Amino acid sequence: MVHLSWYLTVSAMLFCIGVFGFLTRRNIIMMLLSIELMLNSVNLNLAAMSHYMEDIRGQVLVFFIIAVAAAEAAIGLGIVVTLFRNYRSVYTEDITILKG
Amino acid sequence: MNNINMSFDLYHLWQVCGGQLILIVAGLLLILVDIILMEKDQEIRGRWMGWLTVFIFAATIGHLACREWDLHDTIFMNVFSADKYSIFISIVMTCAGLLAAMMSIGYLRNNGLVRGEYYILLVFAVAGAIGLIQSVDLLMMFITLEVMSLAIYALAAFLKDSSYSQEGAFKYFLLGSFGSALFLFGVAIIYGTTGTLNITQMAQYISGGSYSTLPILVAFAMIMAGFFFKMAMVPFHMWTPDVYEGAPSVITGFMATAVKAAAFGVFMKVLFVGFTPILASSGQPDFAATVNLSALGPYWKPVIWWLALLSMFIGNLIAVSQSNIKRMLAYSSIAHAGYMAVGIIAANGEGRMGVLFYLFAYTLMNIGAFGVVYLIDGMERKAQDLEDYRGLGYIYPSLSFLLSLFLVAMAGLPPTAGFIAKFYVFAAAIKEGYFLLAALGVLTSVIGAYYYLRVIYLMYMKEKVKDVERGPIAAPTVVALVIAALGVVYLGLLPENLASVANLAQQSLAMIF
Amino acid sequence: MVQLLFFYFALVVIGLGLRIVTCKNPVHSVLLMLLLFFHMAGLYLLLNAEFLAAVQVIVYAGAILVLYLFVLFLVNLREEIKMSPFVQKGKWAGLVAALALLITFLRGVFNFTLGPHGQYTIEKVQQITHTKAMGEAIYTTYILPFEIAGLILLVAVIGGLALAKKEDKGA
Repeated sequence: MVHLSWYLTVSAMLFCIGVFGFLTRRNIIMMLLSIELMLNSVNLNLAAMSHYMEDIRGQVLVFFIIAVAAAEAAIGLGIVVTLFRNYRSVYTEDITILKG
Repeated sequence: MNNINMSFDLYHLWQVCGGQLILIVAGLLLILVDIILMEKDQEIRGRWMGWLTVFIFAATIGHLACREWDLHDTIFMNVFSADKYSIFISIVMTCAGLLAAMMSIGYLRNNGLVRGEYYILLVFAVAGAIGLIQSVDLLMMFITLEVMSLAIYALAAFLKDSSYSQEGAFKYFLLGSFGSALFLFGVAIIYGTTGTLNITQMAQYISGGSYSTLPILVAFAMIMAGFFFKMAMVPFHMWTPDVYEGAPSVITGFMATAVKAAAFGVFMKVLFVGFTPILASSGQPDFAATVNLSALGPYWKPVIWWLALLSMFIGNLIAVSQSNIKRMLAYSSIAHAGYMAVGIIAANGEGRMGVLFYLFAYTLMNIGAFGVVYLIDGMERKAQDLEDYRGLGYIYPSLSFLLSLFLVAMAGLPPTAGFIAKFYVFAAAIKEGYFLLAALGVLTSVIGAYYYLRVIYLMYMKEKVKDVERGPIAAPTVVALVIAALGVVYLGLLPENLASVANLAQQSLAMIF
Repeated sequence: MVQLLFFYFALVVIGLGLRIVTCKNPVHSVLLMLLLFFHMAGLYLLLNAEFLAAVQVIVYAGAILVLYLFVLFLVNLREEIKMSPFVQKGKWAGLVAALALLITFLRGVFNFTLGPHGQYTIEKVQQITHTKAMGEAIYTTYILPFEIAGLILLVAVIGGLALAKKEDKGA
């Protein structure tokens, strides 16, 4: 029998890995991937709790989170593509122009 | 009250979420209208779409104010509640949408950007925001939050040729999704400990007292952090200046008001209904018996105390050194989030009423200010430096007068709505004994007055150094600006009406059960 | 047996997660992410959630990651798009923040008490199948969120269109 707290530990570790990646990486694709990692850890958390609680709502929430993650990826990557279009002409190490 | 309706029924759906239904159906129709007008001239197409959107928002406000306001606190299918509190904030957000739509007609024309998607996304953003504020279920809250946010990410990136717009939108997207992920982790823990996603059932579980404190606190902190990103409170504010500077000016005004109203509204709902139920005032005997009411108070109050203080100080201090007016207003919006949070800490009826009043007043003055900024700008980013505002008072007297009025209101000077709003929240804080916070808040608003009045000083007391040519002024923008200006003055002189309405609204927060 | 499988999946997920956030090349990260999603699906199977495992593979691995790969190849690989990090002091501050969060979470896990049990026991779910149990919940209790999820996809489509469409200047 696998105990619930093991699932929760895995999920907590995955979430913190995502936070670490988000805070430290500079590549914007990597930052987006870190957010996906965080969402996956939330999904694991919910699915495990739902299973051990003998309740289905948590897994319904997982279903919705996956749907929203898809929509978010579409918008986010759309912005990445337009952002890249604007920077294609000039090579820039760092896209940051808004400062202060 | 306590009128929980579980079966799906179109009539009840219309009764409880009529505002959302109007907006969603109208948004779908707007897509069709956009296709029908495809062959027409850009000018005509933009005007039609714009006026239709204005009409939709006006109809929604009418429906919310006349029909839904009189509903007696109903919860529909365990996810949506129609109570005066939600309806009040819905009206605030729809007003922001209305003013933004009226200004957009001129804005899009000035920037040569007549696109139907703009209005469709604006309508869906307000629909999502109303859904967010009406929901009493954490799942529904997440989904509607994402409807609102996704529409606004796309709107913030709407200036496709501007790297500023793209970069700002991307930062908003990154931190917004990060905030949603934090929020969801909190929701997951709440689900695991209380076995429910509904905030009213969660409150019953928490007031039962049979929970382990640490997981609830972690969940609470994560959910708060998720909302703080949307509210732009320090230290979750780092996206704000970049996004507000980069986004189209009208959308910036909309973001600063509607999204802030949605975030504050839903935050107060989760806080006062879910975590620290204000059941004492609801007079329900079975709850009054379980005295676990504000057991979490000692944990969240110091946190918000410090965040409010930091928001007021950092927002106002950094705003002083800004040279771009949109960036300056962005930092000022962080400071305003701090003032509103003072009303939340007070955690009494006056404080909540003050926050609602503040949200309404802030909506009028902030959208008004961004409207003038876009008019003086002409094209986006042509004249946004404070230097460009030198001597404008003599070139464009009426625009300068309106901008001065809105800035005076934001500074919180007497004959305007801004003064009354600040007065309400600080008075509520003093009543609960937060003297130090109120005093420091007043001190920071003195710093704030410096940079607001500096713009007015530049406009009237300095010689112009650069020729600034404003864009053509569209009639709907003028109407919107005049409405906003009259509202600011009216609320400053006769605040009692709105205050009593806001008071009714905050009382209904105690009855969502 | 179940424990062995759990440890295999859990260790692979954690290991891949660490590799993904430290990997230099984003293409490698995306491909490792694909592997991670399959192992997540395995964990869902251990939790008797076949439907979620299928959705995980179809949507995450099949749709979202393909989108990532597509964008990665569309934007030139040599010119990585970067932005200044949100944490100024570099890697160490991020590490400290993540570790502090982890310690808090783990303390939360040890103090965790599960909420009241619901009515979907393992036997019941196995009897009526997981997909049917999910469907019943989604189409009765959560019908309104389901409808609004459709609105999210619509907003994403319109937003994506507005971002990607070429400007028809002078038309």
